[in-house]
Amino acid sequence: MPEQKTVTFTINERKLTVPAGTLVIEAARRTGIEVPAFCYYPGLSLQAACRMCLVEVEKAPKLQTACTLVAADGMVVRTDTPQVHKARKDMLEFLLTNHPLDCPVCDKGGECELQDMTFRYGLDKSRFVEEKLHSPEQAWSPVVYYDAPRCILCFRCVRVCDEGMDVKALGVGQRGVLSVIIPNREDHLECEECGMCIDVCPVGALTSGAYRYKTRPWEMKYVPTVCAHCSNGCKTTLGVRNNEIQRANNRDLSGINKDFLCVKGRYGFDFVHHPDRLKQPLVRRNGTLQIASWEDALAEVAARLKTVRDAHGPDAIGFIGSNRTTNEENYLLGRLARGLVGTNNVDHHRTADYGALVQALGESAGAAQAGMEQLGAAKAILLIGNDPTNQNPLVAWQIRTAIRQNGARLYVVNTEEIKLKRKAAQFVRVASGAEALIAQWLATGEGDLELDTSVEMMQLRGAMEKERDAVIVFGAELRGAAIEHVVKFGASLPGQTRYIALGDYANSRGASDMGLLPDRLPGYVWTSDAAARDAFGKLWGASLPEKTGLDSRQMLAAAARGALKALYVVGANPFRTFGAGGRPAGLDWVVVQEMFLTETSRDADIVLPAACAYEKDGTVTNTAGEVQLLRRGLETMGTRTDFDILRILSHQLSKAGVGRAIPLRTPEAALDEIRRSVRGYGVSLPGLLAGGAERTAPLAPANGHKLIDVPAESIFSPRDTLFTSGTLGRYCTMIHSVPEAKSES
Amino acid sequence: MTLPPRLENKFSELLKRYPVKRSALVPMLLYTQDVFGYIGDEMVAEIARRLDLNTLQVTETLVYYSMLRREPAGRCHVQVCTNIACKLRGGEKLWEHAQKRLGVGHKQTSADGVFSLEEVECIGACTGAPAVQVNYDFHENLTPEKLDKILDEFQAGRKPSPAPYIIGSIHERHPAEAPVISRRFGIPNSRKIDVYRKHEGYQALEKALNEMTPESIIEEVKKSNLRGRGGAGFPAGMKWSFVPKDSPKPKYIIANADESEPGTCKDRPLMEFDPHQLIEGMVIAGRSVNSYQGYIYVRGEYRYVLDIMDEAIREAYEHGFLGKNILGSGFNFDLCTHTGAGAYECGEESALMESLEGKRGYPRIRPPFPAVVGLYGCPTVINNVETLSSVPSVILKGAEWYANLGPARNGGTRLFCISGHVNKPGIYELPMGFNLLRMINEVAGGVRGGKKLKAVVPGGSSTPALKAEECDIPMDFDSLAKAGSMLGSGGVVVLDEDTCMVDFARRIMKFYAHESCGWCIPCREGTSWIKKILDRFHAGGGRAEDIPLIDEAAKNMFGRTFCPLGDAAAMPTMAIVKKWRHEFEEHLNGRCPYKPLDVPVGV
Amino acid sequence: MASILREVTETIVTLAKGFRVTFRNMWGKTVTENYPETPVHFMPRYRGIHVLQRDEQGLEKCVGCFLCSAACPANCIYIEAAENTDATRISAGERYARVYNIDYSRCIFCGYCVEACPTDAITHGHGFELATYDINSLIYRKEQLLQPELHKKPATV
Repeated sequence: MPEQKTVTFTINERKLTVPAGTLVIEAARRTGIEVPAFCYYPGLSLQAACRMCLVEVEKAPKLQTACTLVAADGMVVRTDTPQVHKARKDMLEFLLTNHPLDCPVCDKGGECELQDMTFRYGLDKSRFVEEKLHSPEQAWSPVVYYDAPRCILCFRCVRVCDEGMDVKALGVGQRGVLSVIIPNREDHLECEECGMCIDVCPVGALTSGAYRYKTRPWEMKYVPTVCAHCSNGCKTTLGVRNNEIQRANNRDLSGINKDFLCVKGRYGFDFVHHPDRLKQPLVRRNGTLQIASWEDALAEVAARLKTVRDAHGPDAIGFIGSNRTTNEENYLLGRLARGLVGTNNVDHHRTADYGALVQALGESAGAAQAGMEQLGAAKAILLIGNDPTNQNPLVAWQIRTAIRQNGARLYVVNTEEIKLKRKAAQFVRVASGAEALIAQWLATGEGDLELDTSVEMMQLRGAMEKERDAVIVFGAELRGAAIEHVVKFGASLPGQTRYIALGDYANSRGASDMGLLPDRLPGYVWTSDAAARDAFGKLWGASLPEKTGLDSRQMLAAAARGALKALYVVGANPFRTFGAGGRPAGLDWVVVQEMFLTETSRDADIVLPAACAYEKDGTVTNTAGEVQLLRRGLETMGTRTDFDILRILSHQLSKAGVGRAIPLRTPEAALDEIRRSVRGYGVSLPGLLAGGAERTAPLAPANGHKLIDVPAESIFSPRDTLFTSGTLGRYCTMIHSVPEAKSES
Repeated sequence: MTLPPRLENKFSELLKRYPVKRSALVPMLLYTQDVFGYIGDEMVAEIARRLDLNTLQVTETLVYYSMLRREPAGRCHVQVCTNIACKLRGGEKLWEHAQKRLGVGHKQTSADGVFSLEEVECIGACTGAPAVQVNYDFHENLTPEKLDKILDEFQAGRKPSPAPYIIGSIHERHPAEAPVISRRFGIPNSRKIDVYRKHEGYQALEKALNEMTPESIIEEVKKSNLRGRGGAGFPAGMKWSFVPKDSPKPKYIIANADESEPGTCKDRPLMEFDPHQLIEGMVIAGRSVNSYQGYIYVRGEYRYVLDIMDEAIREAYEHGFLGKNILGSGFNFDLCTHTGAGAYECGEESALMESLEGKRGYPRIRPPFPAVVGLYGCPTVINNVETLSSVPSVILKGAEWYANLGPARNGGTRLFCISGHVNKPGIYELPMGFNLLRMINEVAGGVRGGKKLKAVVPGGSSTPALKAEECDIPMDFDSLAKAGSMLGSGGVVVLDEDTCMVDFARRIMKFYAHESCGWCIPCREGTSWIKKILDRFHAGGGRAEDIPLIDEAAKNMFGRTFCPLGDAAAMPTMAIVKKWRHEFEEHLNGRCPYKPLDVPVGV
Repeated sequence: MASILREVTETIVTLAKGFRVTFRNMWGKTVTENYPETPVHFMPRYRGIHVLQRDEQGLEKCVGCFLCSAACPANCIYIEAAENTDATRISAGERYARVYNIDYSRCIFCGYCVEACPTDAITHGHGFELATYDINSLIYRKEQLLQPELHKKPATV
C-alpha cells in the first residue's frame, strides 16, 4: 500500500490530521463536532443545497459549506462562532416558512432531523405570517407516501434512487419555491419499492405506507435483528409495540448493509401476524388434523419415531431441514438425526454449492471468501449467473457501491440481460446452462464455446487478467467441479482473488455449514472421515453412522418406493420444492415444524407450530459466510422455537430409549458448542454481541473426495424476485400490495 | 413514431451538434413545441427514446424551463413583459389591458383557441419598453391602442410584422459615444459576411492566426484590461489563462447569450447586427486556449436572433472562417448555436453548462471552476457575448489602444442600455468610466417630462439602486463597487420622482422569486417570502415590523446562497430598504402614496 | 422585673391575636362544604378527571400524537392510533386515537398531559369521584373520557 497523504488543519482550535481529500464535515463529525446538514449524505454526490453546514474559514470572505470544503493544510475552521450559529438559525427560519407545523400528526415527528435542528438551533417564534404553500398528500404506492409541503428539497431521495439504487424513479418537478419531487409515472411510482427514499428523507415528506399513523417512534422497542428473507443477511431494526411489529427499517445504518434495505427487509415482516399462522400443535386423527397439546404432540412424535426406528432401522427415517432456521437449530437437527436416531438421511433445499467452494478453496478459505464489505470495496467484480438485483439485493447494492465509489469494473456473464448490465464494463450473454462451460473455459481454455461467446470471453479474460484483487461472484448455476474451475481461474489472476457463492434464503449457508447434508458433518467434514466422526461422536455421546445418506430428492423417491417410512421436516416445503406432487404414497408418517399450513404440513400427521426468525435468538450465516445475531423481538403465543422443539424432543426420545438427550438448554449454549466444534466457526463472541458480522472460514479437507459435476436438480435456486420469498413470501401481504409484485409464491 | 419531416430534420441536425446526445434535449423540446404547440406525453416518450433517457429525465427537464408547456396554448401566445424597464413605461397597464381585451388571465387561453396570455419576465426589449412578444415576434414601444391593432391583425388571421430591429439600438450617434463593438450598427446588411469583411471583418482573426501565438493572444487580452461584461467583471484574459494547457480533454468555448438580466438588452443587437463579430471573437478565443468547439447559448425567447446567428455561422463556414484549417493556419474550430427555453438561472455560467448538457439548469459546485472542469467535465471558457465581441477589436487595434479607452483597470467601452424614465432610451456605446449623470442628462436626453431624478439602477436589476445624489459617478467596475453598487451588465434603469420604490422592490423580488431555481434553501424560500411580504406591504397590509424583516430576510440570504442569484435578489432589496426607508413608512397607513389618492389600495 | 412584665404582656397580646382569628371565624361565614349533601365548589383550574374535547364540528380534537403519554410521569396513558379516512372521520387531522386509556390507579393528576397536548384535546375536568372496589374499573376508556357529543353542529362543506 502506498503511504496515504495526510493534511493537518485546525477546527475549533483543535488540530486534526486527516487523509488528504477528506471533507471538513466528515472530519468534524469524526471528531465529534456537530455540523448540521440536510442535503449532505455520506456516499451520495454532493449538493451544498441546504446551506446548513456553513462554517467560518479563516481568510475566506464568506461562510463556506463544510460539505464541499476539502480540508487543506493550515486551514482554520470554526463551527461555533456567533456568525455560524446565526446562519443556521436563519436557514431554519427559511426552511420553516413553507414547512407545515403539523408535527403532532407527522409520522416523522420524534425522529425528524428538521425538528431536531429547530430544537437545537432554531428560533422559538415564526416571523412568517404569509400563507403557506399547500398541496395534498399523494400515495405514490401502497408503501410510499409523499407530502410535498413537508419536503425541504434536500434531494437525498432523488440521489439515493439514482446513484444508490440505479432506478431513477424520482425526479424534481417545477422550479423555485414550487419545486417538488415527482415520481416516474405521472402520479405513482414504478420502481423496486425499496423504500430507501423514506429512510434517507430527513423530514416527513416521504413516509412509509406500512407504518402510516400506527404509532410514534418513541413508543416502540427497537430490536436489531437480521432480515428473514434472502441470504444476504441485512440488518433490519424492528420497531415493536404491544408484541406487534410496527415497522422495520435500518435508519441507524448498522450492520453489513449500512444504508441499504430492500422491499422485503422493510415491509416483509407482516407474515408474523398473518391470521393463518399456526398457534397450536395439530395431530391427524381420523384423517383430519386436530388441535392437540404440546405435551401430547411431542410424546407422540417421540413414540412414533421410536416405533419406525425399531421396526425398520434408522435409515427408514429422513430429516429435511430448513434454510431459514438458525445455525443452532440446524446443528441440533443434525445432532438429533445423526446422534440420536443414527441416520445420515439429512438434507435441506440446497441453493448454492457452498461445500464445493469451501473444498476448492481448501486452506485459503479464510482469506479467499469475500464479505459484503469487501465486495463493496472491490476494484473489479466478475459476476457469473444469478440476478442479484432480484435475488440478492444487498449484493447488487454492494456491487453498485463499488462501482460508484471506487470506480470498480463489473464483468457480467449471464443468460439474461439482467439489470446490472447497465453498470457493467462488459456483459457477455451466454446460452442457458452454459455457465459451467464458461467456468471450465476460463480455467483451462478448453470447452466448446460458440464463436461469438468465445470472442467476447477472450476479451473478458484479457480485462480480468489486468485486474488486481478481484471478487468473483456466482450463483447456483455453478456447482461442484465448475466451482473448482472458477477458483482455478481466480488463482491465476493477480492479487488476492475472493469469492462469494450466492444462495437464497436467510440461512442457506448456515444449513450447509451446520452439516444438513447427507455426506457431511458440521464444518463440511465428510462422514467417511473416521476421526471427525469420532470427534463429533464423543461430543454428542453417540457413534455416528458412516454411510452416506439420502438427499432430499432421494428421500422422497425412497418414500415413494416404501423404503423410507418416516419424514421429519423442519421449516421446509419439500412436497412442493422437489416437485413430488404431494405426499409420497409409501410414507407412513410425517412430522412438520412449520408456521403455516403449506403443501407439506397440510399433508403431515403432526404439525408443530414454530416461532419465526423475528421471535427467536440465535445466529444466522449469510451467503458470504458472515455470522450475525438474531434477536427475539416479540413472541406469538402458542408457538415454540424450533430449538426448543428439537431440544425437548431429544429428551422425549431419550426417555423412550433412543439415544442421549441433548443437554444444550439455550441457543447460547449451542453456539458455544458450535464455536468449539465446527471448523471455521470460532468467531468472536464480543463482535457478535455488539451486532457485528463475524466472518467464518470453514476448512474442508478433501479427504479423498473429488468435486464432480452436480446435477441442477440437487442444487438449484428458487429464483425469487424482489417481491417473492418462497413459501414465506405468500404470507407477506404488504409486499403483495405493491403493484410490481407478481402473484407468485 | 413518425414525425413531421421538418421536425425530423431538425432532430437529426441537432443530434449531430453535441458529443453527448442528451444535450439536444432542450432544443428538441422547444422545436417540438413549435410544431405541436405543446409537448405531449407521446413526444416526451419519443424524445426519451431517441436520447436514451427515461421519461422522468425528460419530464424533469421539461418542467424546469418556463417556455416549455405540457398543455396546448393559443395559436398566438401573447407574452406581456412587466419587468422593471417595461413597468416603468406602462407595462403593467398594458398587461391589464391585454387581460381585459382578451378576456383571459395569466397562462389562460381564449375560448376560440386563438390567443393565450402570459405575464413574462424581462424579454430583452428594455430600451423599447413596453414590449410584448407574440410567439417569437417582438413588438416594442407599445401603447394599449397599438397593442389592440396588433391583436386585431392576429385575430383576423394575419401576422403583423414585428419590430424591424431592437428599438433603441439604432439612433443618431451622440458625440460622446465611442463606437467600437457597435460601430457597424446601422450599416445596411451589417449581418452579412461581405459587409462585415468590408468593415474590418475577420482581419483580427487573420492577425491572431497568422501573427500571434495562443499565449500572445491571451497576453494581449490581459493587457487590454477587458473585463467580463456579463456582470461580475472578471478579467477575460485571466480567465482564459486558467485553462490547463496540457489537458488531454477537449476544450470548449461558450458564448453566454442567455441575456435575461432585467434592464439589459445589449447582446441582442450585438448578435442581430453583428453576428460575425461574435463568431470572430469566439474563434480567436478558441485559438488562444486550443479549443476546437464552441457553443453560443442563446436564450429561447431570442429565436430570430438564433436564426440570424445560424445563418452567419453558415456563411462563416462557407468562407472558411469556421471549420477545418481556418485561413490555412491548420487551426480547426467548429461552432454552433444552442437554444435555451426560458430560465434566468441559466445565465449563471455553471447552470448554463448544465442546461447545455440537457439537464435542469441548476448551478454546479465550485471549485472546480469551468476553466478546469466545465462542459462535459472538460475545460471550458465561458464569456458574455459582449466580451467575446470585443475581442476582435482588441486584437486588431491593440491592447493599449483598447485599454486607453477607459480608466485604469477598466479597459474599453461598454454598451449601456438606458431605459426607464428618460427621454431617449437606447443602447449607447460609451467609454468605461463615463459619468452617470452626464449619461442620463446628455446622452439619454434627461428625465422624461422634466421630472426630478429619484434613483438609478446602474447595471441591471441585481445591482443596488443609486440615489439621485449618488449619480455623479464614473461608470466603471471599481467606482461603482466603491459606491456600494455594481456595474453589472450595463442595464441603466432610470426612475423619476413619481416612482414608488416599494413597488419597484416588489417587482424586482417577484422576478427573482420566479427565476430562483429552487436548489438552495435561502434563495428558494427567501425570495418567495420577501416577495410575499412586499406584495402585502405594497397593497397596504404592511406592519412596522415588516420593514426590518424585509431587510433582515434579504441579509440572511446575502452571501449564503449557492450561486449569485440569491445575492442578486438580496442586494437591491437591502439598498432600497436602506435608502428609501421613509417610503416604506409612508405605506404603513394602508395605501401607497404614489398612486392617485382616489384609488384605494389593498385590503 | 422588666423582663417578667414584658413576658406577660407578650403572652396576652399573642393570645388575643390567636383568639381574634378563632372568634372571627366562629361568627363568620362557614367555608366547609357539606359534600356529598351539597355539591362541591372548585377553583377553575382544579385538576380532576380528564375530559377529551371536541371541536366545533363535533370531531375529536385528539389526533393521537402520543405526546401526553410521552409526558406522563406515571406512564398511565395508553394510546393506539389509526388513520382517518374520508368515510370515517374521527378527528380533524390525519390520525386519531382509536384507543385512549388512562389508568387512574396510576395517574397523579400532575397536568403534564394537558401541558403537552398540541391540540388542546385533553383537559382536566372537575370530576373526582373515582373510588371503586375494583381496580380494573380504574382504567378509563376513551368513551368514558370523551366530551359527550352535545354540541355537534351539522358539518359545513
